[in-house]
Amino acid sequence: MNSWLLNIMMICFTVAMAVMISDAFLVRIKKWRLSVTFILTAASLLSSLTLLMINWSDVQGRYLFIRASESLFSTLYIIDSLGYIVILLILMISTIVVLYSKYYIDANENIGPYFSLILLLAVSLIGVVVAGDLLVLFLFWEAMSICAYGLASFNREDQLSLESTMKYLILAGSGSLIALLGIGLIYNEVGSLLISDINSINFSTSSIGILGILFLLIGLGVEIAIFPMQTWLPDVYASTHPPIASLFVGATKTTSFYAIIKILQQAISLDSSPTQLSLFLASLAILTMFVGNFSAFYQPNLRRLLAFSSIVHAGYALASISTLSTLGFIVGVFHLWNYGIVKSILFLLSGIISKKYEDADINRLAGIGNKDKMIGFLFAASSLAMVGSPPFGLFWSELLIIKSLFDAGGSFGFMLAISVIVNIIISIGYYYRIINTISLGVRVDNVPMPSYDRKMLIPIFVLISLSLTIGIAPWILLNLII
Amino acid sequence: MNIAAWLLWLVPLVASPLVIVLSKIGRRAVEIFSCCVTFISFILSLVNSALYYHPSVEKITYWLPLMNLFIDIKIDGISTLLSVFISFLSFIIVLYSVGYMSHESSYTRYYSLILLFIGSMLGLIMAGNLVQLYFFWEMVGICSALLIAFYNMRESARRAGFKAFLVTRIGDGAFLIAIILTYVVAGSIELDAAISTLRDTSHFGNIAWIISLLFIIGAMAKSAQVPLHVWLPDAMEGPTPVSALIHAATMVNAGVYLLVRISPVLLELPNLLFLVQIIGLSSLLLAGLCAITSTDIKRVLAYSTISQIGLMFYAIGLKFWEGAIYHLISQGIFKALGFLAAGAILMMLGTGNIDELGGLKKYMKYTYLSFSIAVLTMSGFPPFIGFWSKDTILSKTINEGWILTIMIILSSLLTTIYGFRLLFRVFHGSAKTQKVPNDAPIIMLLPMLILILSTIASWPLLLIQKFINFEFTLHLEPVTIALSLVVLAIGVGLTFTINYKYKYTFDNIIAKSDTLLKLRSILLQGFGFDSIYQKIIDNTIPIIYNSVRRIQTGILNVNMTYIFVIIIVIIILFMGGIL
Repeated sequence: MNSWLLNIMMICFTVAMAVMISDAFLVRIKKWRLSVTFILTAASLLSSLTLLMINWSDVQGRYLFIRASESLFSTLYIIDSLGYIVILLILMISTIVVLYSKYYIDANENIGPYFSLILLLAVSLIGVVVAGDLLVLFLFWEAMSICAYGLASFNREDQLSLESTMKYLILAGSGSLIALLGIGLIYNEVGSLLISDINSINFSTSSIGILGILFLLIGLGVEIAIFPMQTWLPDVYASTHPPIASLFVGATKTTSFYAIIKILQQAISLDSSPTQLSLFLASLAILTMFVGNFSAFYQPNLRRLLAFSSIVHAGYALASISTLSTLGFIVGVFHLWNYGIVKSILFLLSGIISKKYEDADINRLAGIGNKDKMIGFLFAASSLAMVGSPPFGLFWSELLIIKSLFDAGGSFGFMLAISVIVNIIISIGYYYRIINTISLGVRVDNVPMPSYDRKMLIPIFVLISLSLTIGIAPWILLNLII
Repeated sequence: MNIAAWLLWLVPLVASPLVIVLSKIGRRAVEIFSCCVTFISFILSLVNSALYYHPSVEKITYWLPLMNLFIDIKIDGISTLLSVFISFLSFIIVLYSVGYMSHESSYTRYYSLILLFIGSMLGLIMAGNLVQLYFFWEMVGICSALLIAFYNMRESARRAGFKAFLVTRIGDGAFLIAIILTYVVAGSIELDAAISTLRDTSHFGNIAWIISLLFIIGAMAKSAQVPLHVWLPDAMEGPTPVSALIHAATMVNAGVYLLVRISPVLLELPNLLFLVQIIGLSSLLLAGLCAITSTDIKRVLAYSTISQIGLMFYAIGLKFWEGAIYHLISQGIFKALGFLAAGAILMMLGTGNIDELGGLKKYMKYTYLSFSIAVLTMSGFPPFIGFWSKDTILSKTINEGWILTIMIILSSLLTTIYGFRLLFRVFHGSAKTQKVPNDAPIIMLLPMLILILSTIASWPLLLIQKFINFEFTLHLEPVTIALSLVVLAIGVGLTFTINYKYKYTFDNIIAKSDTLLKLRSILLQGFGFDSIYQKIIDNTIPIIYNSVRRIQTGILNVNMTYIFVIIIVIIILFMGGIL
């Protein structure tokens, strides 16, 4: 394993502990408490990000090139260029969320556990990305889930938040169990837990290993909310703190997808191409897209709308992954990267305009963009970005998804491509509603615009500039991968 | 490397965000800056055209590794000519905006969006590959939707913006599939390479046919052709300079431009050419009919735009794309002139409803002059450009048989009727408002004057000869000239009688006849396309939404059941040997 990767994980883990301890000591000194925990967390994330970025040349363009035999630890930990950009996204979104939380979170809340859970989530997500062994993957996966439960229920005062976390815990918990069963079945067939050994499963004869892979996919699929396992997601995203929702949507979801890709890219490196598996995933993708889209269509609650839309995008990514091609995998991650950034912006914006869950009704937020031009502009820009308009990154990823589907060939690819395009058009129906109501609408009652610290806009600007940069120069990111 | 060809579209694009910075200094700074930027862009396009001597493609950088895509521009006759035309109109209309938008508080939004639009539109014309063309195609769509909703306090403006965005995106979906299919089939996204590979239809069989059909659908939505035209009449909610620039002279012609680009492929597919012809003819006639009943000046002009673009589609269907380009330029000029004059009326009187207007001739002399020249040009009165561009298409039609000739003549008659109806009702007769309007300020009259001068004679012909086709000449048959003059006379006479001199008598006749009333209401509703689409949406989406919403129960037991169901499905599929 590359030592810098270990360093990153160690930095984040150690600081997470340090934050927890220092918070225990500083609990009486209110003036220092937020600043110290914030500075520690932000510094560790920024240094990890720097460490990651200065080592980009190690993995640049080395998609699937790093093999298990390359280093001592590599049977347990592997990283390639696709994993690298996922880690980049994890650290970036975590940093942004931490910067934003400084102004969002109430100093009287339990801020020590809050910041350290964010760091621990980042560590476990990186663990999931680099795991080269199914057991390691599972352990980090569980660690990630525990951090996620903790963060999702952080809004302790809110009954809805607790209820939805309970639902999340039970559904994702059963998902983990199914995944564990899958791992067991794979071990039974292959006799090894190494992910690189999955390719010895024979797809042409119906073996128990295939069932194992399917169970593993379904188990991991709960986290990315594939239909019909998506029911927990709208409740959790709508009731948790918006920065946490943006962390989930930006980092957790992409990582979970990457875990699925990691397994699939091993499973398909055989002579016989598993068309049935491809068809199965494709049908799930189509259902996921349509269910998510139509659920969002008349949804009055902004955050629930955003949550349903994140189900739709999981459908797009799954569609490109279902081609079981290298291009499909790269494009899936590229899409989630772009999507994660823009959706995070929307969640962070929703956090600015409505600190409370009840106030997220779009009609009550009408005309806020007229009062505050900057908020109006950001809402309009990110909503346009979400429907794949240039010059934002999602334009390219949606274009490439369609391309990967056509490359897969046949009527199946064509059908999927048409479904994706139809769904993008349907999604205009509700995203443009955000523009027409929040950015351009007229304030119905004279409820004043909630006051907020203008510094909260800085992380949002960083993200939107990033999306614009990828939109204008997509090669920057893609050249890192291939 | 031809720097001018790059800068002519990059300058407005880069200038667009700078408007926000400049707005801190003040309104005047933004106005001067925008005018200068568009003027520079115009000069650059002139420089580019002066330097042009043979077609070339210039690349700068790798854009998208997975599709082997470069940022490139294609400098050829069509792009050179159209870039001059678009940058010229942009400059004129931005100049006009200085007067028209002088009381708007959201001027920053207006100028930054309009510069973004101009840069994107020029980028679209100069694009050397299909993906780049699509990128800017989408950008102009966004600018158009946001500018339609510029008066965002009005619910109708916001709805119109949404409608324009949605309808054009439906066409864009088809366009996107066409691009990706082209890439898959032809292995290249470069305009020249892709088109020449696609032209080899015998090699690719039906796929070239499907791709071309999808391109045509994309062009239809952007150019507001029947049945995807519904967004354009509503788009008149936007400020008048926007209607003139985007919804009359430039963006709506992008579809025609696209068809001209793919015309080498279309030439090999006669049934698609016939389809383009049918689309063009139906838009030409249906929109012409709607225009004669509409009572809003801008709506009449919008229907007229749909109808005139229909004529361009028809010309492409006749394998006469040079004629389409000719009419594109002439339509752009006279329609922009018409809109600018209408904008002056709207600004001075606050209404564009012809029932509330009348007798403006006395008060707004220059606007009257501009509008009459726009109407004369639109109706094809010699020696204005409309006459030349229409009659070249008509002359070509005469050889195609009498049915087509009659249809084109009928459309000319309709154009004359709705044009002169506006002229008589708005400027002649007695004044209907107490308000005594002044003529528009000089900053708005100057652009109109420049446009009036450009409507005279058949100068675009020389440009088409220079840049596109040396052999392109006017073949005006004496018969066509006679025909069009007779049609003009009949049209003016009919309009004068029915809509002006004996208006009340004819209004009474209509009021007494149920059939005529019904006919009028059908025409006023634009043949009911809107209500049909609305019905389709109302009868599908709420039903699906309500049924899908039931899945999201929130009851944990039910949610757990879903997971078990999927596990059981997997096991069944596995046991059945399907997975």
